[in-house]
Amino acid sequence: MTHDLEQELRRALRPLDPSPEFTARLLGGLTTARDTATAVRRPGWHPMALAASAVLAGVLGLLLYQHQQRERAHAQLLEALSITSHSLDRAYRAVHWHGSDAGEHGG
Amino acid sequence: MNADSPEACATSWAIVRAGDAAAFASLVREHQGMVYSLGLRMLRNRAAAEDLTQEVFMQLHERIGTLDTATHARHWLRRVATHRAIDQLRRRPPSSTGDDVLSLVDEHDPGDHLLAHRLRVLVGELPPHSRAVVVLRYQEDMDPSEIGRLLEMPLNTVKSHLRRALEVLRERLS
Repeated sequence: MTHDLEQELRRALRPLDPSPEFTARLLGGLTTARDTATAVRRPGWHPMALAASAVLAGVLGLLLYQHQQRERAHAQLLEALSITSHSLDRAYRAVHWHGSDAGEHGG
Repeated sequence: MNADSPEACATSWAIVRAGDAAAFASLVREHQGMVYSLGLRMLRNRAAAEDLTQEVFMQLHERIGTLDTATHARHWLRRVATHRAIDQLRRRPPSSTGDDVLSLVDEHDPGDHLLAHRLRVLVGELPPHSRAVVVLRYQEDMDPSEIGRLLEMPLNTVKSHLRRALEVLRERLS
């Protein structure tokens, strides 16, 4: 009885294909979905490109700023060295002048 | 190269995965009967079965790249179709049995059409999980351990659903 019932169940539940109209609709829907997905995917590159450009511009701006900072520091250092050099020169002359003046008075 | 050889199967599957429309259409034609029949036996409604079939193949189309072989795809289709049908039955039980669906017969089947019709009605009256176990066992010819893996159900629970369902069907038929 169990064997018969199982055989009958296999027969009753045999797979059926849907109607050809349904298959055509299904395949048509899949084609539309694929086309839509492709169309949506393509403009997706624009935001990516914009984001990449913004990041690149930011990095270049930062490098330029750092370069300008370095140039300014270099100019300040040269100026400071120049002032120091002048001061030393003046001090040297003053000392030298006092030295030769004392020698003349003492001789 | 033989069309059924592993190499030929791997090649044709690679074509499907690469997005070839004709290859995907062929895959749909090969498996639509299985998905549609699972939906029909579970939901007992032709329109609901068609909707389920459409949704499952749309999902397959999106996920095709994650499936390694045609066998994997067939298993995936069975699993997704069954779980979707069970979820749908939990959310919204069918409002009507749809006698037109239950009386669908295979014209080439020499068996007892009345008995087949009665069995489809009775299977449709089983609780969702028992119904799924019976449909997978007798429509898909899966063994209980395969059904257990697909439904994430212990083997003994599958066997118990089957035994109980057969008892109920036998009682009601007599």
